[in-house]
Amino acid sequence: MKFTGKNQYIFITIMLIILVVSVSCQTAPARGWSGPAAVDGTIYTGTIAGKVAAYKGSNGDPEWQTTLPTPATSIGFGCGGPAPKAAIYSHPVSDGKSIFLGTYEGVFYALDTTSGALRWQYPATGRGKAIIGSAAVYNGNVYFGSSDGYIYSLNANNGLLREKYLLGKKIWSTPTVVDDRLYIGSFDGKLYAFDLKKGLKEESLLWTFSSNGAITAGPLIANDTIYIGSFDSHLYALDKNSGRVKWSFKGSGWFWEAPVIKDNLLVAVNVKKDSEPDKNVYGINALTGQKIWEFGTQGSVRASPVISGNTVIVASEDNNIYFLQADTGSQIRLIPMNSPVLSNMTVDAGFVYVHTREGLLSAIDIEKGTRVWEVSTYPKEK
Amino acid sequence: MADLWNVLIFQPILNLSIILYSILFNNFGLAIIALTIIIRVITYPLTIKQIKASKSMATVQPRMQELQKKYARDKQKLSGETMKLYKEAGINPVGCIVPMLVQFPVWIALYQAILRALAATPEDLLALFPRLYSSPLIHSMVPLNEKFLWLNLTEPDRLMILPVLVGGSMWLQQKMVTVPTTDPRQQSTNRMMLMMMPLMFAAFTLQFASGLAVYWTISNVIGIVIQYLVTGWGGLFKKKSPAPPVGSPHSTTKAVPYEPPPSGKKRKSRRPVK
Repeated sequence: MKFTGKNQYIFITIMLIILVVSVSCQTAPARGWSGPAAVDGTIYTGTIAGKVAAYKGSNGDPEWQTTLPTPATSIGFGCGGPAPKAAIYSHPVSDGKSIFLGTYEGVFYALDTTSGALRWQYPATGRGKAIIGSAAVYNGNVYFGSSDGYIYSLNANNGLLREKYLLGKKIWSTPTVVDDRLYIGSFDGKLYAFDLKKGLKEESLLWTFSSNGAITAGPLIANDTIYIGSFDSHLYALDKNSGRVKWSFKGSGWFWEAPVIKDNLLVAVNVKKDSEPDKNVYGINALTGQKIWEFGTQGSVRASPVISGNTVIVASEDNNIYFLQADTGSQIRLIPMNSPVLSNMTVDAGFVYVHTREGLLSAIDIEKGTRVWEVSTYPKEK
Repeated sequence: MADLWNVLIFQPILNLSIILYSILFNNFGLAIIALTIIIRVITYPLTIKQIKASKSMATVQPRMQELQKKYARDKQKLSGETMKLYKEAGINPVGCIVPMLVQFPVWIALYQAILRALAATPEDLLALFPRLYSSPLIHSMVPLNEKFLWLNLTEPDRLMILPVLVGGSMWLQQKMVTVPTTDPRQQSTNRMMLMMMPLMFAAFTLQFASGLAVYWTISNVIGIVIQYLVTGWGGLFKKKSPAPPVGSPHSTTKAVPYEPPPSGKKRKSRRPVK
């Protein structure tokens, strides 16, 4: 074949088509990784089908499911085509009446807890920027951060905007509200503390803490201390009132999600390189920041761990759930899930609820390590 | 294979773009422009080779058409004679394609780097970590700021300015490199490609992250400058086709035997005709 004239153009055109297919297939589409939340014996979760679903915690019987209305998206060359469904990363939170969560399409929803009916959405029409973090409900308001750099405060009853405040860079962190104070991290590497008695404004900003990496994790607050992880591979313990650093702990990778605490044991997890043998689960003395134990999973750990009794449960991208001794970090058991687990888990009534990347929701008996029930939240269409 | 791609192409481009971002005032648009210049400098020898190959191709066009006419019914003979002609003229037919081929992986890697480094989706950001070099500077930079002028670099340009810039600059460059020909079929192909390529790229720009379109625009502009310095405006301001091939029914010129350039002698680049 001669690479001249017509042949040359045909060749280039073919290469361009290959390019288009390649780039479209090489990037990761937004699918969501919403995890389960337990409220009064019911398990709520967002699904990769763009739905919010409710199941009976005891046996997994479906109670309801609601498809979130999706604003129009542009037509794509992507392998899967345009996304016709909402991508949900945030975990449902509830005030008893409503389930709240946001979507990658930039819409925040309130659904009725008993029927799943849509109570309201914000904005009422159109779309905003991606909402990745979960919400916090406090005093009749619901707070969340958005990729447009704003913190929003909505009326939990009707979804009307009460306040919004611009931090600047994207906010994927879940806010924590305690004692009229709101704490939230941002892509700018800062953790912000607001006095909610004064509202969300410049004057209500109490202090900021700066790390050397983005903050996507939500802050954990215990014993007048705020524990916050950063992409600079450090976990920080800050004084709740001043934001002063009490101690810092260096991990092997990004701290994407919040740590958990029981008594004085803090358990934090890292995103890591699969190929490297780094440890990425740490048991840390919450008072001193000293490492008590460490454990390595095969894959990254994005989701927060959970603690139940003397058991630490860690979900990994390596398709496994690890059960560890809380005081020593030694492995009790490993449960294969056949799919990565990126979602936060929840513990209720002796069960840990796990939602895998491929849409399998499982209830696992923590004591026995057995699956009590499992349902597919993303059934394959026939 | 995937590891080779990541280690040799994607990771160097990704990490270099993040380092450039940190140097260039945390502006990823500027980092893409700097990266484009670096890539064009690295591929400069190949670009020159391509331009010279195209230029040589143009010089043998009359002789080519003679051969096409002479061996119109004997494709095998035509193919052999064509290769012989290329050999005599010192032309490597693949020379026109190689620089283009080299750029494809760069485009793909850059596209991935843009989406991942700018955290277009949480999955992209999560997949970014294993691809970053272990430098605190790099880790402290991600995710990068996606704003550049009026653009969100992870999204297509809603104002439609970039599709016009990409299509326009590509048309200009294409017009400059198009080899003039008197062959009606080739003329028709040239005309079609002159319109199709810019339109295709403009259409891609409507769909892809505008960061990639910034790369295409800057790369085209650099290409136009290099082309101008080596061959002048080329086919851009030539309204008439070159004289029909000698010996053709439309020719008024007497046929003269073709003389291949002496082997080993370098042909000088022609400056623009003024």
